[in-house]
Amino acid sequence: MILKPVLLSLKIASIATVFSLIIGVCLARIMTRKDFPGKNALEVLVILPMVLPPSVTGYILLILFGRRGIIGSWLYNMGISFVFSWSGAVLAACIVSLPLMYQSVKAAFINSDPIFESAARTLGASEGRIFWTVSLPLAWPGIVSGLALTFARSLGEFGATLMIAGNIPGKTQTIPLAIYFASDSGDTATANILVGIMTVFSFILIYALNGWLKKKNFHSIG
Amino acid sequence: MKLIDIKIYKKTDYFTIDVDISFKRGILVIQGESGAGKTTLLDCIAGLRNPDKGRISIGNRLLYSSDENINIPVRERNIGYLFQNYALFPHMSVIENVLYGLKSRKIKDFAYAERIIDSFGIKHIRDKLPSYISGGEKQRTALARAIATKPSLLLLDEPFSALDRDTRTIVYEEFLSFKKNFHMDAILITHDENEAKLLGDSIIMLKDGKVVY
Repeated sequence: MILKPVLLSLKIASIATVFSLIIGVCLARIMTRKDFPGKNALEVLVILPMVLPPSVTGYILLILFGRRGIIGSWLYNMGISFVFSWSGAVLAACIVSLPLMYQSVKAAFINSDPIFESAARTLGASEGRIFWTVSLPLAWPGIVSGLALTFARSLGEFGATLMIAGNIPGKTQTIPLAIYFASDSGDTATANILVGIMTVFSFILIYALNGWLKKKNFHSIG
Repeated sequence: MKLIDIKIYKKTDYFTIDVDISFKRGILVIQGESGAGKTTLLDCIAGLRNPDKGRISIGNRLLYSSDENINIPVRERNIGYLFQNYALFPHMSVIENVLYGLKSRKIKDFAYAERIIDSFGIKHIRDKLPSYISGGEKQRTALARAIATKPSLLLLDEPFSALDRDTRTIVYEEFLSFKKNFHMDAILITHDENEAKLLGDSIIMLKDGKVVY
């Protein structure tokens, strides 16, 4: 009753964090480098899940990725379904936590002095080499805080996950869902333990991150 | 003997650069007060900024020509640039900084880089990060990094301004011996008249973006 939601949550949060990392870094790089029509609208779209109620995000995901949804019906024909499956929970966690990753990495890119990239260019480096060897390592503190925030947010995702993945014990029941349903059914023992795990883990994560960022002379969270 | 030919016209919000410089070899010093357009001029030569019009050639290699629509990208110009604040990569050690250009150009002659850091007296700090070395060592590392790729022209943007007076006197002498040993052709910008006289084979004065003598 306790171990399953914990393991499932860790699995879902880890995978969602990897996707958020890749998408967030790419988006941040494009947004800080290129100008194109609809750029501002795209940025709002990425950040929107941070301010929308998770139930709204979940509902929109259901419309898009449901079996009869615009993207979902097409994916369903290929044998992929996000509804009532743990991949749906990954999708929800990824969409909801992406704004945190995106904003951390974007700030890190903006705050890096462009002179280092100029220096690399005069030394004959290609744009790809500059990205991997200069831009990305210099943005590392921002990426790490993005990773920690994304992981914590993914772990805590509730509303959107419930809407698209449902509450199937052992399959889609993550820690927050297990807490809600344990509390709802009067199983306070389980709820207490899970709440404890969640709070302690998040505390340690943010505490360790702030300590590390202070060492790196970077702004801590909060 | 190669001729370095630079004609640049560029309008900015603060000044208009309009220069026509050519020199054969050695060190050309461009002297001028801050705000005279010196750094913008170097950026245009390096290709980091585009002039409005002009022509830049080193020997028989044309790097930029607005008339012929030629604009060789920065990384292919082979012009070394020593930035005013050195711009050493903070996450790389001294030797990694020096090797960066060689690796970028896929030049395998790492022995040459080792020889440079040896003769620049920075071998003992080869594995240190830039934040753990002195101003003079940073300056030498940045110079070593810029010349490791054997650039056809070296641009030096106030390379000694961040150093204190005592260090500067030592560094001037070193610099002149490096120049001889590594056959550097360079454009050096400074606002210091003594420095200009000491280091320059030829000197021009820049005021409000124009050469005044």
